[in-house]
Amino acid sequence: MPAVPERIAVHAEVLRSDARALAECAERLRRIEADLEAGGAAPQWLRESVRAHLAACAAAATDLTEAATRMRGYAERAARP
Amino acid sequence: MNEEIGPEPPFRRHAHVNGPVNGPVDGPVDGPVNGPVNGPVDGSMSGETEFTPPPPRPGSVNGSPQEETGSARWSPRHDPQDGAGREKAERAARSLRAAARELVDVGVAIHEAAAHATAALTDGATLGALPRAPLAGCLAQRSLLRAVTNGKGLGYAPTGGRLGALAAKLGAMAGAESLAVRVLATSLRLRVAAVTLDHPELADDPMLSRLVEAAAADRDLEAVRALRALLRDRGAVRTLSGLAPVFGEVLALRALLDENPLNDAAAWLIATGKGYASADPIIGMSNRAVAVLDTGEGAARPVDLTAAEAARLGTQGSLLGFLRNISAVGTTGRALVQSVEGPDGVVRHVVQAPGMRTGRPDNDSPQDLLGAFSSAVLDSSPYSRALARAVEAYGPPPGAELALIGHSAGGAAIMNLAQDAEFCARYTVTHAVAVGSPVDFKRPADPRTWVASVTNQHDIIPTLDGQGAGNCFDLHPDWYVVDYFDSTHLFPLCHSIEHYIANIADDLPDARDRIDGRLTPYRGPVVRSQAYLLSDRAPRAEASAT
Repeated sequence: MPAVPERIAVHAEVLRSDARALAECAERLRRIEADLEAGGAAPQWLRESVRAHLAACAAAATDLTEAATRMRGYAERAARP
Repeated sequence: MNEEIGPEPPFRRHAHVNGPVNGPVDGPVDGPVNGPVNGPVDGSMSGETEFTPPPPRPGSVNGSPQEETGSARWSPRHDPQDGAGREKAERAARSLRAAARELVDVGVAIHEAAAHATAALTDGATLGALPRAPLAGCLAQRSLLRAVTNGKGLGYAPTGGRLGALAAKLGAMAGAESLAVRVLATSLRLRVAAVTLDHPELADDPMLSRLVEAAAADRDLEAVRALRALLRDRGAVRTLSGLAPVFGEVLALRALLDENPLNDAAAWLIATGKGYASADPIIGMSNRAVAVLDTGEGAARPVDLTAAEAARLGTQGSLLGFLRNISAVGTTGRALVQSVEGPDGVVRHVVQAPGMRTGRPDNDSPQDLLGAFSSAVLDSSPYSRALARAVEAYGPPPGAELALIGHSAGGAAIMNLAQDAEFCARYTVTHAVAVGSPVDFKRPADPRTWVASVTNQHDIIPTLDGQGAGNCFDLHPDWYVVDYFDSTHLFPLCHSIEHYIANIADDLPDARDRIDGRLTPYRGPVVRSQAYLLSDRAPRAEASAT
């Protein structure tokens, strides 16, 4: 694969990895809130904030997965002679 | 872990954040603290014990780095009936800080993802290949653009690189926020919530809580109104004093969420605990740009203390003795160097550095306002360089062991001295004790230097580096950090050396004993004292002669 398409493919891999990282972030957020709730330490406003963050993480993971797929396709197309 | 300290203490240790602080004290702590002054204080070398070469560092006075380290928070005594409630609040505060810390990791991970997407979007290769696959390329570009601008996902998140930074600044000016910033804001709010458990007055006071809530919710107009109301009702001193425990967090919240792109980096540093706030979090003026105005190689001239001042100097080395010496020397542009003969017969030296000198903000003293600022912000300042000149003039032999003690700006200056590799190659800095100083991001050049930091949570000065009572980071697992508060909430009273001395003498016996235990090699008779008048640079005639 020529250098430029390969570079695009590397971006695609990083984006895919970041999409997974965002999903992990959502899991951590969920656990942070659950732990605070269980310990009776969660401020009243926290649930709403975490809910918003969770939704955003999910949307961001979807966006990044989509971008990774598009970048992969772009790399393959650009590599064709 | 909850323990009582001392008989009927007005304070109670209520949280161990980073490790034990009540292990065995490794040295005598019951020697005289401040006796009558008998020893020579005139700077003469007479009576000075012959120096012996310092022992190899591993066997030196520092002992194991695992001993006498960690952080402790003290709070005022609660109603004894309220023990269970207090323990619950302590647990909750610990949980909130841990959660705030973890949210920082989440925020940073999200920020990195945004940076990667921005890098892909702005990479020349991505654009350069468009002629080869225009449709696929356009679709890829569009998906990347959506990823870094989707308000329901990463938010407005371009970051990194020239284009990314420019886009981020434009976005900030338009009030656009990223998901990473929103997560960090949640982390800061959890830090405020943790501090509020220690300082219920923050929640009980409707004016203070209104301001904190408005700042956290990015309600600019309401925050300004709340601040004005506070200032009108309490005055600047009481307002600052009340806000002090959450000062850094409130400023960082405002800076993260406001439309000023200049203060974003400083807010990010405060929120993530990654470094000293690089700019003031209000308008974003670069701290370094201000600090570099404080120039000078530093100079020190030996001066005699007045008889009254000399009479106040301690004759025995101890933490309180050194701090009382700093009080005796005062904020007069001077510093003190003493030699003490330790229990092992070895003579060691103690540099004692007072806080800011009153007067014009920028005069010829490195202890002026600008000097205090540069000492806090920069790694080296005219103040620390002047202290190095003072030590040089005092004349300890190469390798001699030194303890550095400083209050306020003096604490920042002695930490700068401790992180001066050249100075530490010449002398052995065994201890650095900073009281009421912003030193969170200082790092001694020699990792074996034992560092202690004592701060009152209502003292704003130590929070000027962005980290205060709400700090959720384990910045110094190898330091001994005492972060406490008492019933005196008024700044600048709680910042004064006299107030710290009174707290350490009467209210913090455990901390005092621990630090004194570590200072055991310096706990002997004072055999020499010399004061130095410090200046930014050597007088012209003297400079040209050298």
